[in-house]
Amino acid sequence: MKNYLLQYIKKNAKKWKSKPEVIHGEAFQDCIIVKFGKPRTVIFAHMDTVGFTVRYFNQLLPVGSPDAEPGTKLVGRDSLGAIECELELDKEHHAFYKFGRPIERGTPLSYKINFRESKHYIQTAYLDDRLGIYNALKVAESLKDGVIIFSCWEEHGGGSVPYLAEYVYRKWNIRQALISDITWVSDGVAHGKGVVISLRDKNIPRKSFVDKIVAIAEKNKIDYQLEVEGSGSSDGGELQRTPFSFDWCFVGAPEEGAHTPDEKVHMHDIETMIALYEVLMKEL
Amino acid sequence: MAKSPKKISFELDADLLKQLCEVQGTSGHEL
Repeated sequence: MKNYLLQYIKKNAKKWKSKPEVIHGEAFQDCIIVKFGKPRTVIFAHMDTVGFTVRYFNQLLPVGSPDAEPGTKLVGRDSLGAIECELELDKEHHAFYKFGRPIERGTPLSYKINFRESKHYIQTAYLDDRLGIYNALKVAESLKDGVIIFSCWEEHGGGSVPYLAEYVYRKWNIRQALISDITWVSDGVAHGKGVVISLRDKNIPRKSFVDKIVAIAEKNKIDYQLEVEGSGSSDGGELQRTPFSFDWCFVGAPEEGAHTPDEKVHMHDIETMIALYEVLMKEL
Repeated sequence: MAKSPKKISFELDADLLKQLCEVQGTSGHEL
């Protein structure tokens, strides 16, 4: 993913309104920082892929919290070659693979992609958070001042956000963050009603900052929905626990089927997500 | 007079989104 994004940025940044500085390397592990102009706000989009790691015999351990039915196609690669196997689950929900040969220990397996586009919806695995990355890349096309960070480990405990936050805070004095990630369709959040501005999940962001974001959405007449949840987390939760005074807010499209091979998002929610990020990066 | 809602021109770059979904992590960290 890192290499794909670096190549994409190198190829496409020529067409962007501002030329960014791309910062990466061993000190940032697999993360990427893309800086434009005189930044005030940082966008975080995580690069994680939920899936499985091959344990012993035909056992699988989850990476993050995959949610898949038996028979789901999983793909990967070990030293013997490409793998396309099937997921099996026992009564206790332990995961196993079914394949014609043993797969090497530690091999990561992810969902086989079945990308479907209709008039109103996109459906595929990994909209969480490839759509958050897509949003960041689209915002980059016209971004004058700001930072985009592609982060790691969001789906399994975190760990990269603290050093990334420290870097942008110390280097450019940035204290505002937007979390470009995908949330859930729920009893209060519907498909097609606009981008979600999350008032809280397990973590509660600073109200005055969230109020600013809502006011900007109102002023620009962009459809949005307010989310109030008691569980779930994001890179925002990690930011809140850093020793730096970051204001943050989760702003993203809602999806059905989180962490399944069939995540589903409405086109209007993608459209309003990008539109809101464009104005937020200008006005915050 | 009230302003009409902001008109957004939107075209999904489905090829890019599909590619992003298809790219597998290149290390355990990203996966």
